Amino acid sequence: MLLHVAAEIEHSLMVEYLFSAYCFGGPQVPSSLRKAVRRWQEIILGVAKEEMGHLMTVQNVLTALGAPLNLNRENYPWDIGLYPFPFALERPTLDSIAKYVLAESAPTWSDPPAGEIKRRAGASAHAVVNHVGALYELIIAILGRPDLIADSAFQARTLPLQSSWDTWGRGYTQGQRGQESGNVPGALSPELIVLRVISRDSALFALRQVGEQGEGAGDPSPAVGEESHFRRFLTIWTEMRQLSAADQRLVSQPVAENPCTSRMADDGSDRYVQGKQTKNWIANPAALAWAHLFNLRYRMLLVNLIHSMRPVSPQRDATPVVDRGILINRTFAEMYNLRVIASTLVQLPLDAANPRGLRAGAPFEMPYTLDIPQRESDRWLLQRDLLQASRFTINDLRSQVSSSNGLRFLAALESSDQLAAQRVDAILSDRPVMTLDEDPR
Amino acid sequence: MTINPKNLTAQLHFRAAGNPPTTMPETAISNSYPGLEFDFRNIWRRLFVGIELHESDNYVVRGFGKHRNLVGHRLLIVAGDPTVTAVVGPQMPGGSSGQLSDATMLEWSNSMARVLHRHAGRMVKCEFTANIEPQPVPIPDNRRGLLSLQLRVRPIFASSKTTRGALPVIEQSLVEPGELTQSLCSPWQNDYRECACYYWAASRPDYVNVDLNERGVTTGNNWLAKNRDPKEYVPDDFADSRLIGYEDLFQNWQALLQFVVEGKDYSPGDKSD
Amino acid sequence: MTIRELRILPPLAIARLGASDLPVDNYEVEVDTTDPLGYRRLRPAETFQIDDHSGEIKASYVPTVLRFMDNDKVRPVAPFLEVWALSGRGQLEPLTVEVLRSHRLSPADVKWRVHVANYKVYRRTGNLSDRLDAKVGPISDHRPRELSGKCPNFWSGKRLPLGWVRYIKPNTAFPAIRLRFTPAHGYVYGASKALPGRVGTRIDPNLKEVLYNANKGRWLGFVEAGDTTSTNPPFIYANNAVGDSFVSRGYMDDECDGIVWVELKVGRQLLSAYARIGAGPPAYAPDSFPVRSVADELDQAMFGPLVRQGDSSLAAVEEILRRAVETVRLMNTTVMNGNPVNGLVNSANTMASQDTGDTSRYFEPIMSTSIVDNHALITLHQSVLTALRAGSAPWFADLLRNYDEVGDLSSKGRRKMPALMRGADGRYLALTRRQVDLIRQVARLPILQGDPAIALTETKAHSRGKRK
Repeated sequence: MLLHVAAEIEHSLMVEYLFSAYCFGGPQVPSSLRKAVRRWQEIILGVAKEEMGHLMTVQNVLTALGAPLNLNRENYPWDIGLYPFPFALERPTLDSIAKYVLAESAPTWSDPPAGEIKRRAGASAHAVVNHVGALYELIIAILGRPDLIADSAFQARTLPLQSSWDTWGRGYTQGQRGQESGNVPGALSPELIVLRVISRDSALFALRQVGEQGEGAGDPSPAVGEESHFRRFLTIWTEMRQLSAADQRLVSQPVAENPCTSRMADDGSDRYVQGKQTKNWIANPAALAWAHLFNLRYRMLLVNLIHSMRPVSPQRDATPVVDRGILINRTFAEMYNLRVIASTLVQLPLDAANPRGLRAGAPFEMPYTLDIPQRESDRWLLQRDLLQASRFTINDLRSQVSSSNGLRFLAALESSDQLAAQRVDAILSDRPVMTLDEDPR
Repeated sequence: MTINPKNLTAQLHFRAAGNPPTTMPETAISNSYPGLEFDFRNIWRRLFVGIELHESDNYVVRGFGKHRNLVGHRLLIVAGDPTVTAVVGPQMPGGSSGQLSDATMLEWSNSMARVLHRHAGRMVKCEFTANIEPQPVPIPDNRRGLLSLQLRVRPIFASSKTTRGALPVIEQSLVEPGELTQSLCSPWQNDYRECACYYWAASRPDYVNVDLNERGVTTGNNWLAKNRDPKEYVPDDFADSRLIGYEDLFQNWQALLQFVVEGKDYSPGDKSD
Repeated sequence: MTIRELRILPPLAIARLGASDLPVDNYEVEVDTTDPLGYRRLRPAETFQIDDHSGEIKASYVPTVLRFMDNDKVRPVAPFLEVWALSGRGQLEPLTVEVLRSHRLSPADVKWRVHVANYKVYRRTGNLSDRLDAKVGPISDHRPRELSGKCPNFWSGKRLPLGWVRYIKPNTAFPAIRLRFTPAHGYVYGASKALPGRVGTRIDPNLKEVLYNANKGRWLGFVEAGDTTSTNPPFIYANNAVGDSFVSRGYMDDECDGIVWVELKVGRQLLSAYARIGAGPPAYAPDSFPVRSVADELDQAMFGPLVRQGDSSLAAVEEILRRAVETVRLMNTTVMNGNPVNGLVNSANTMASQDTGDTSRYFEPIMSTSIVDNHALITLHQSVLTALRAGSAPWFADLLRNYDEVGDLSSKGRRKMPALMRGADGRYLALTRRQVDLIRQVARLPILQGDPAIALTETKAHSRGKRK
């Protein structure tokens, strides 16, 4: 269960970091700050990529223990005290970034500006912020005890089912010369940790690596752990703090917090307050259409990911290698699509009647279920359904888009969906839909 | 129609009326190993006045005048830019990378790009091995032992006496007739059979008539397959009789090799126009 | 206008061999905006038809169907070279009959000279008498001139045809001064010790003709040393393997490269210019462009390894990506990755096997074996292209192989881009430094090009009228 929570946390953080990163930039950024802002953006995107690695590693530990995978977010009640802070999609501010710093920090961190960070983080979260590392410590402590978890619980034969850096790493790792320069100057290239697990020791090793990347190697003092998430967020926070309050508001678009695609308030208003969080309905029809597409592609990403990870039947390596390839590459393709759509959304007004007001943002709304069918043929049918849904959504959206970039994107996306649909048809044509015993040959 | 004489981009990429795109350097490959249309490495041999280098090795093959005795030495560093690098990689599965070779030559066109750009026409510090070296050697830790000379960098392009700017044509004295193609395969048909498929797929295709089969897997022909049926990729092998061989190419390449458009063998309707 | 200087454009023209008498028609290769992820479209374009007798362009037409073949013969690519003049106004303009007339000159005052050569044998043997040269000129009339290759080590009277040049006769409809270079037919020639044609001599079916006198020169039976002076790769001539040696079969081809000069006396000034030509094999996938080309080399040699701010563009990055797609499409990436084929490991010649053969890196596939299916890879590249077309800045600048990283054969190093291909130094291909810098520059731009039109027009279209 703790591992499930860990998985949910990694997934949630990844999404929150992505949302935050995509808010950076925009025409309102003063030219003197553009380079720095682009660098911060790239740094956080790098952290998000690394969270993906953490997520995959945790799934591997789950697989090794014979447990089901978990790609959900925040399924468990908030008050079990393990989640770092309530899930929130918000633009980057000193308060929100302080939350991230604190969540990634070691519990013992107390050097300045820890005090201010804690205060701001608490204000942003409306709650005490927990340290992600603490959860990992707990998991490591439990997994490290043979009296609680036997050696036999770790199944080495699940290795072929686990995700590897080979397949998911995309080349992102420390090279011969250490961490390399990244996509933009000043940002380092991310180092994806995707470790596989065959035993207790390898599980502990993997989880420690994950923990280290998050908060830095044990000692939280400034000299150590240069590239940890904690350190990276702290650097951004420190640099941002040096700006005037006005400039701090200008480094990102004024994106509404927790944008959503349905109006939830009973009184029909656009803002919905749930506890201490505000959800903002995307009233602008064009932005709403983009947001629907975003959610659909997010779902397609998760479906491709799960489809590629879960074999049809654990006893046989039933999923042919080539099918996984297309699924894995499609997962990445959806990441690129999400990048484009999220960046488009933050340029659009939340409410068409208020064009200079808040901006829309990527809603990252989860589908009501992440379960996918057990039978391989049924999974491909689901893929086909999603591609069809996308066709409708694109058509709907197209009538509302007039920017040439937007239209080009939709045209290209449609082309690529068509090719994907052809492939799915080719696969489906060979497989009878109703079989009780799935034979991959 | 006019062109600004200083607009070298327009002149370098100029397409004369009536010329199909394949007349242009955009369609000539430049990972010259050795190359298809040209072995473009040959433009670098006379980069430094007084010596002639090997087109793909930092070895001095000729020296003129006082540089006669540089023959056999290797040029390691120019204006601080190295011409060689080490090769590293793992020797065991899961092993960490160690040094596999201490020196491999970097292609001139990239290693000397900055030298050319900054110092064309001017003298630069060139550091050679102190001795004749028949094998590639790395840059020593102590560079004081190297033979250091000042040599002039030849510009690649000719210059206009009228505009005093560059001309878009490669300087005559740098490359004589015959030299751009001299290190290519002889005959070139040999290369088509030998070069395998990881060089120039956009010019000399490898995998054609690609389709998805019923398992969602791609299947297609090896471009050199004599028969397009069955549609099964035959891995490249000189001796496989299913593939067009050397003799076939020498005798009849024109009838045997197929143009490929949109990834498929191109056969536009009837033969008459 | 005054003529201050002459230039020949293009400065480097590529011809492509073919035995047909009909040069291939002209065509355009264009990205299909309705199918931007698909193949470029070939569209027949204005083609010049030369009058065989007079040497004039008698007509210009657009063919209905594009044909690269003429029955079983390849239609050669025969480029035109134009003469341009630098005027007193400081601009380059085509040199035409009228411009000449304004200087009291005529086309007959233009003189052409051509020197092409094939030094492939000389490069191996080092013997100056193995050089094959063809020189023509000065020519001022419009008859075609054969570039008849002479080699001191040929049998007496034997020539190797390297193509033709023709000074095209300008006329009213097509008044520009131009030359056409038509390449040779793409034959293979050989050598013998016995006088060719003598009764009883075996005829080699590979050869068009025996030209080289193997008693005078060493080409037949030559064995390359494979040392520092050899070509790299070595032994790339038609040969018979005898033990460890590669014994030359004495073959030659009719490729060549060389220089074309033009000269014009204007008043007391003798103006001249030159350009380069070469003849290579056909480009067999005419709708696809190599990811790294001679044009990229020329750009880097001319403008340097760094792109000036403002000179980079998303369109240029998209073009590089598109070329990458076009190469990947035509490669069996599964095999090229070093994947087992039908269960056999290392069954094909790949960069993976090259790494092991050249160094002692242990053999393993380059990328994860599960993601390199050709279609899967194309899909991935296309998704990148999709994002770029949307105006997204590239995010993969750190995945590009730097020019000095070609020796990195670690898993990470081998997976950098471009992947699976060989470069000019025999190691993994790196783009030119300029190409890499171009992508890096654009990567620094905002993630998505801000389009003020988005906010404005979309808001306008759906404004709910008066508000607040």
